Amino acid sequence: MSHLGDERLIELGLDLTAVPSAVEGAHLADCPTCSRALATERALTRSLAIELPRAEPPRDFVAATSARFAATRRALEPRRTLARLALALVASLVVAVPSVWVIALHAGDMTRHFAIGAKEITVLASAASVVADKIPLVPVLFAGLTATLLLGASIGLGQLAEASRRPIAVAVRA
Amino acid sequence: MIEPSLGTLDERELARRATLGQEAAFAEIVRRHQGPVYRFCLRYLSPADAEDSAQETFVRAFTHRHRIDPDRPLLPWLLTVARHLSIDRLRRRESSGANDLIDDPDAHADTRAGDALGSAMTGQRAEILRQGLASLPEGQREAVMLFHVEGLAYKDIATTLEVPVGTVMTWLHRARARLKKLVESAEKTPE
Repeated sequence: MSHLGDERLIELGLDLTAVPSAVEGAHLADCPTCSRALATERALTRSLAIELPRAEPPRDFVAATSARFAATRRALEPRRTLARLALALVASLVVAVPSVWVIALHAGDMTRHFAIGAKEITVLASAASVVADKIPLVPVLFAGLTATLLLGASIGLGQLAEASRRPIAVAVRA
Repeated sequence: MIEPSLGTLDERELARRATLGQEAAFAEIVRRHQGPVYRFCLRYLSPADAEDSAQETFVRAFTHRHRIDPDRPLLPWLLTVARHLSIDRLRRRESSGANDLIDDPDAHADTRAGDALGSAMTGQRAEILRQGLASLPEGQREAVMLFHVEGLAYKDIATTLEVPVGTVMTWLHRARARLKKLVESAEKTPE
């Protein structure tokens, strides 16, 4: 084979554990030019790895850096708390402002929806009272829960009823 | 205090713990990589500034731990942070006139590189290599140091220096050719 190319010689020279292929090995054994070039490359690699000294950081480097971690964490903590509070405030405003605005704008509609819903919910309320009678141990709790649910449901059902323009209870009965 | 088991963890697990904000994991990362990061900062800065810059590198890594990718080696990322911090610091110093590096930064960088390589290098070959390394362009010098001293792979050097892998290979090959020439000509020339 012809001489080993510069790239291949450097490749073999950079990695001291690299083994030439069988063909390359045979060539290197017979070719003093290539074997000398490879030896030079490897000598350079050894020199650069061994003879360039490694400046080491001060002995307390890890401890000093850990202290800076702790100081950074302490400095960041109040900022994080403030950021969380600010985020919570913004989130509350995002929910509250439109809600208040909707309520103010549609106060009349909501009252009307409640009235419609209350009417439609009569059937469900009767059923709930029957169930409450059969559970004597928790009638008060059950009634309170039912009342809360009915209040919420009545507004929702009223809106649905008006939206669909037909009485829901009638539809359920049918 | 570093818990004993951290020292035996592989880097991926260590990085994963670091992303969760475990300070002990970070301390172990500092212990493992302090040398390369400090030496890299020393390429640009005086020892005192290099120490500060290296510490700042780890603090930045700690505060930006969400950017750590456990599937990638940490050192190139740390060295990239160190490089940016060191160059920023050098520029601030230059613009404020706080040091004498304004006129010819490269020449001073060479001097610093020579200093960083230390006075421990003895023997003719070592001296030739030290001088030859200091005379190399910045990129070639960085490539040689990262490859031969820190043992980084081509792609990790490319990540650190933010250049293509091909450029790293070219720099390294050119640097070696120049150093080899210097050594050979010195060995042929009797003193």
